Amino acid sequence: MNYKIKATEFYLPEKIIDNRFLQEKAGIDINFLENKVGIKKRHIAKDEETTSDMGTKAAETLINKNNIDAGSIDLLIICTQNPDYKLPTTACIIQNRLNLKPSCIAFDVNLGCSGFVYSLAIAGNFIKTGMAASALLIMVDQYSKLIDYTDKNTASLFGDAASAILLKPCSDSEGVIDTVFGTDGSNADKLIAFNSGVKLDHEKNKFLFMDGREIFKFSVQIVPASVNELLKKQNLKINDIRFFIFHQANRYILTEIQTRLEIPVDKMVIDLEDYGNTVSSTIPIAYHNLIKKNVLKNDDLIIFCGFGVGLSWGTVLYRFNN
Amino acid sequence: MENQQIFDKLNLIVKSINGNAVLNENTALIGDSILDSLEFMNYITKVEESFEISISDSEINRLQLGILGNMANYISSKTSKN
Repeated sequence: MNYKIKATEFYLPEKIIDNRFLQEKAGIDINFLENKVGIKKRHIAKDEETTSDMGTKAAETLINKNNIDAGSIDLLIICTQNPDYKLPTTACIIQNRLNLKPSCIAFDVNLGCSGFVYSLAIAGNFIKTGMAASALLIMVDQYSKLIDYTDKNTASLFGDAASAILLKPCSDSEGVIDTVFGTDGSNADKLIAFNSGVKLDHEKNKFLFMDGREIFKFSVQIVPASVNELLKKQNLKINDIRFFIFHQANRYILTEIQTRLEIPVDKMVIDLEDYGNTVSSTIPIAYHNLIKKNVLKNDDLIIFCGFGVGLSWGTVLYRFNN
Repeated sequence: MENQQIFDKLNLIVKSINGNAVLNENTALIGDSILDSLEFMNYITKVEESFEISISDSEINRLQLGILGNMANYISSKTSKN
C-alpha cells in the first residue's frame, strides 16, 4: 500500500502588500521585484486573523468542494512556525473547529519551507502502516508577523497562506514513490527569528533575520544535489520527470537551480508572482494550480523539493494518477 | 595561478550571469550596475565554487571585492597560500 494526494485547496488572506508599498517602505525597485524576485503581490493576514483561522478556512474549502466526510479523517497534521499559541498545538484547535472525530490523531509540525515534503512523508507513513486511512495536512504560516517591512532582505519575499491537502491510500505504483531528506543545523542561525522562543538575546530584535547570501548558496547547491541523489536512487534522468515543483523561494533562485540541473523550461514550475514565498504552502499551491491547468497525465512523474529554515530540505518523487 | 588567468576566469563567471557585461579590472560589479544584488550573490557563490575558497561578507566589504581587480588579487593571495 502507498499514499497519494487526493485533493488540494488553498486560502489567501484578503489584505495585499504590493510592490509600490515596498518601494516606499524599503526602497526596493519595483522592476527588480517583478522581474528578478518574480513577485507582484503578497497576501498577508490582518492583525486579528489567526493561524487557526487561515488553516480552518483552507480545510473547509477542501472538505466542502470535495464532499469529504470530516468524520472520516483519521489524521490531522498542521505545519506552521507561527502557531496561535505555544501550547496547545494549532492542530488541536483546528480538530475542534473542523469537528473531526475524537479518535483523530492531531499534531503540529514545526518546519518552514521544507514543511510540506516532511509532512507528506510523516502522514504517508501513518497511512502505509495502517494507522490512518485518510489524512488531512494543513500548511499554514504568517511570516508577515515576523517581518520588518523596512528590511530589504526579507520584506519583499514572504506572503501568508494556508493550503489543505487530503491524502489517501493507493496502489504501490502511484503516489509518493521515494524520498530523500536532509538537515544542516550548523547553519540554523542563517534564517532565524531571534527572541521568538524561550531563548532571549537582548542584542537582537524579534524580526526574521536572513543571511541572504548563505541562503542563496544553500539553495542553489543543496537542491540540485538532493534532486540528483533521488534521481540516481531511482535510476531516472531529468527528462523522465514531467514537472519539477520546488519551494517557490524567489524566481532568481529557481532559475539558477533550473540552470544547474539543466531542466527544460517547460518542466520547471514557477508560480509565485501573485502569492510570494508562502513558506510550506508554495508547493501545494503550485501543485494545485498545475492540476487546474489540466496539464498532468496519469503516470507523469513529478519532483517536489522543499528547502529552507533549519536548514532543512526534502525531495519527493511522485507519480500522478488521477 | 597568474592574476591574468584569475581575471579571465572571473570574466567568464560574470558573463555567465550577465552576457552583456563589458569588464575591466576597475569594474565595480554593483556600482557600475553590471550585477544586481541577487546576481552578485550568485557571482560570489560561483567564485567560491570555481576557486574552491570561502569568502566572508566582511572580506567582501573590507576589501571591496565587488571590484574585479580586487577580487583577482584576493584570490591570488588566497590560492597561493594553499
